[in-house]
Amino acid sequence: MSHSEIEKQVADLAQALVFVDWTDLDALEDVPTKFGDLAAMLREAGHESEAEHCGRAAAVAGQLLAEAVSSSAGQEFLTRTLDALQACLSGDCACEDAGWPEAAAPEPSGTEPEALTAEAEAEAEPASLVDDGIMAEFLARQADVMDDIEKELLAIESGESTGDSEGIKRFLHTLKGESALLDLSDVADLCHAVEDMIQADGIPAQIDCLLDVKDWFIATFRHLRDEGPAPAPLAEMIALVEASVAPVEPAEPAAAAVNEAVPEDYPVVDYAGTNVLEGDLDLVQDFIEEAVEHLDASEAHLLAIESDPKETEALNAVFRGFHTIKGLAGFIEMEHIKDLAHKAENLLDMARRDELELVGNNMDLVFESVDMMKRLVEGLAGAMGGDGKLVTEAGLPSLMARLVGATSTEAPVAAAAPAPEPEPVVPAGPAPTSGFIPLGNMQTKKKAPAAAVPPKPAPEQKATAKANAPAKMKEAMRVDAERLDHLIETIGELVIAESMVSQSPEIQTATLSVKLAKDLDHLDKICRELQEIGMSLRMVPVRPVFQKMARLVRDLAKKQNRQVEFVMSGEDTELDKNVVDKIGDPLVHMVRNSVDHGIEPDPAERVKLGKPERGRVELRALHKGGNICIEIEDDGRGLNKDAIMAKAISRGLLREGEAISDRDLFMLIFEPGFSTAREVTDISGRGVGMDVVRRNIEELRGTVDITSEPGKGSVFSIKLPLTLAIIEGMVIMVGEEHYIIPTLSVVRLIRPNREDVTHVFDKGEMLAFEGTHLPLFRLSQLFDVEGAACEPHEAMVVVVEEEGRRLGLVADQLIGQQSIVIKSLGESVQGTDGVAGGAIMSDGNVALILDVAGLLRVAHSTDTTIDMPPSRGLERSAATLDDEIEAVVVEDTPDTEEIIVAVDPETSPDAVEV
Amino acid sequence: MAVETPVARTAQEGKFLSFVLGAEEYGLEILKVQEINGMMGITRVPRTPEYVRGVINLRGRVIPIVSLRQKFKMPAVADSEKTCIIVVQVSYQDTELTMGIIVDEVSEVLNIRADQIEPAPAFGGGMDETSHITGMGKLEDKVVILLDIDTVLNGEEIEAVVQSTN
Repeated sequence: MSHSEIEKQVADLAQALVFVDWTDLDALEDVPTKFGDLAAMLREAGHESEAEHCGRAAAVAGQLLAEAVSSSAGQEFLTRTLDALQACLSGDCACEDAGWPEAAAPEPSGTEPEALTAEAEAEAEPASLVDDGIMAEFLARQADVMDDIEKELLAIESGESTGDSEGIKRFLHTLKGESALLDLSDVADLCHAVEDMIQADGIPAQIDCLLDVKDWFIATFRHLRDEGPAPAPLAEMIALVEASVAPVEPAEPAAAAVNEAVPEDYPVVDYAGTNVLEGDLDLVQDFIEEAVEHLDASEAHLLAIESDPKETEALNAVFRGFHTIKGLAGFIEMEHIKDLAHKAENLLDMARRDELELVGNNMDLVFESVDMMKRLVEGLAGAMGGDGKLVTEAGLPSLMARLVGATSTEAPVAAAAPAPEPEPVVPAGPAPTSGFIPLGNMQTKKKAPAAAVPPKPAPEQKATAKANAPAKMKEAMRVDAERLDHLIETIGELVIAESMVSQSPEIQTATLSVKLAKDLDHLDKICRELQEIGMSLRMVPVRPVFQKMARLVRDLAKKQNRQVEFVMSGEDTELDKNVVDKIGDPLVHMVRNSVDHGIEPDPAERVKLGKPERGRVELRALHKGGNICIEIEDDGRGLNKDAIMAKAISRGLLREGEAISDRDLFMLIFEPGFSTAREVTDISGRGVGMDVVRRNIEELRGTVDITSEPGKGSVFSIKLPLTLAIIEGMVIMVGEEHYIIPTLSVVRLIRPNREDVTHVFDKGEMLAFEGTHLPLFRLSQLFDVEGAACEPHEAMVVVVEEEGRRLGLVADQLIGQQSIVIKSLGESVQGTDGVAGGAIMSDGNVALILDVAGLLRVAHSTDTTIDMPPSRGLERSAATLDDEIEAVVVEDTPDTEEIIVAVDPETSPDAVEV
Repeated sequence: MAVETPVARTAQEGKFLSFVLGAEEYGLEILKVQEINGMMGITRVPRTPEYVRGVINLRGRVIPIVSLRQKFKMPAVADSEKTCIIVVQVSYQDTELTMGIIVDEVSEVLNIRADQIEPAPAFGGGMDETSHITGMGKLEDKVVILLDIDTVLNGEEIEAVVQSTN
């Protein structure tokens, strides 16, 4: 390395530093390296002391980058070093008095420079080969990197990130290389060990350990900068790292020693980030559907087993479910699901062979496995719908570990004593002494019996199976929901087409041959049948929802340490799928209320009242007059009337001393805000989320009712329509238009007498009805229909009611009552106020279904023109009302009729003529 | 020069269904068209915008019908035997809606090449007026106004109707 080359390098650097913007860190990026290079060149050229100064400059530059020193101090240090270098090299003066900047001279933030120099010397002494500049830069850089790593690890743990495992691996690998270069063998060794661990386990399973390692790195680097005490000895860390990997390696004493208290997370196959979209989507879809079915069934079976542990057939069924899932998961390469299914299967298999009993903790484990499996399958479904990336399920490793623990520790006990203890394992899992049975061993151990005992043929057991055992399986076929809807739609069309033909005037008037008349009748009958079948296609039993409730009661009772018996009946009752899907939420709230607040927490209290210790919650579904009734009954305390009353009065819903029926009083708990009040829930114990219940049920066009008796319990009844697609409707005619009013809302049809209708000045018309006055609305005005009858007494009035409010609607005539298939009007006109939907009439035309609640809203709003987009009907009806304001009702002798006279305000403001 | 508004797409060459509305001829991308029906009984829906003529029963489905004349604020005319309902698929937000549009007369299916398409003209400040025009198809004997039916039927009015109902 020639002298001139070094000189040139120094000059270049000096020049670069003159022009550089010292606050722009990016621009300074390569400055430390340049100083480092320079130092190396100097050392090579034999200028030892210059090289050392240069190294210091590199270190300062590195700190400058890491913002460890202020930019002005760093700038001064670097320029002075360069000045001195130039002076030295040009031979102007001796190296010693070239005017090197004092190490402490650039007073940066804190003690950095001393530390730095000291560190540089310290490192330089034992390992003179290590360039202290590079080291300083390395250390400065690590601080940021460590922060990033920590952030990433935490993100992986919380499941936010699918884990940039590659990034972390890259980091470790780089760190290993760099630290080896810098003679930091401790760091390099640890990196190596951690790399091994990640290779074996994947990152998600080892977050804790990785965080420890990261902390150790930070401590080490801090120590290298002389800022902190020496970190824990390397051996300890390595042991920790290796211990975490232990479960897959032959049992190692160290592993057990480190993890004796907590069951170490089972190493789960690294599935985070696996792209499911790469596989065969149809297969995955099928898997999801089938798995969900199996899991739901398993849950039911498990509940059966819990109530009667002798339910061997149910146990077999659960086992088969997991077995199928295992097979399918393996097929679509979902290793984590397969593993979990396998572990659960192991546990179940032992239970099947009476090696352990499915009670207490073991039962919980199986339930947890079902839950976890559900979550995994949901995750899979979510990934299919989303970007295809699987996300980590946090609880999986620990669950797997506990499953393994349960099977491995149970095995010897069971083998030694065929009658296992009723309450075997505490959640802590394996006893410290036994450690983990290596996976390999366990598999072989399990495989043999599993292979030896083929799944028992179900039919033979059928005879002995209990009545509630799933003895008969109805054959079912999975059909695409869209295709089904299409079929139902087409059936609807056929029915309409048929009625259009048979009702057509030509056929009606013609004299038909007997045969044709008969054939037409036959066609009519088939169409009707077809329509009924079509409707039943969407009907599904409420069983799955009920089963969820059974599970909910079990979990709640367990959590609160109450004894609750759950009975359900009528779970085969069929409801429209949409209704079944939506009924779940309100049921959860109500069942939770029954268990939480209804059943007395203290069994003694129950015994005192002469009730059995065990509380009872019953869920029933039954048909009641064309509707489905779902009832939730508990034999608990019942609603506390006084508390509700007090609360209602304090909220201003009731006046002091106001008489109210029990039913109306109970209904108050559905008031929004009423339910969440602590006072009531604590005393009477009812009402959490009750307004949600009511809203959901009303959405389904259903009603809720409560009966309750103090000390005996309460019954919540939900009444629901069989289907959302059909309503009973009354067809009316206004002018030329047909409208349908839901029969449920109709109170009465009347043809009013003239004197029943009174005009209220500038308010519209009123109808005297059963001693009260109802607002009277003319549909022809509201909807701007032409050619309608003008006077109510010439037409008819439909009295409708919704939410306790009544209203009279003037229509021309009643056509009849029929079942109406509700059709959506399409997004753009859907939800128009006053119109609930459309229906196709037998002549093929569309009739509108009136939305009584919406009409009431329109009728009761003080100014109907506000909040509405400009629309024909409204503008006109508002205009008509305006006209009426200028009309005066003149009432005279009893025999004169009411006469409305339009008054022209300009000509004769006061003149009224009769 | 045509001002490109964010909503208006530029017409691509291809097949267009042309129809008459007043004195002009308009074109719709053929892929948007589901079918063409003669006039049929329309059930009025009250309290909807003026240009929503009502709903019809399209083989068991209830679909809304929009009068394009009223939508474009052209004088209304009595329905004739040439009046047609073109059933179109409109993308609204993320969903596909089926809607009918009433036009005076359906003429033919045109094949319009890219070099025959000129950008929509800008009428000064009336940028909104042309936002649903994707281009002008210049054929030998006539000019066809190419419509982006999505934006025609997705105007803020429909938006307003949907909004007011939710």
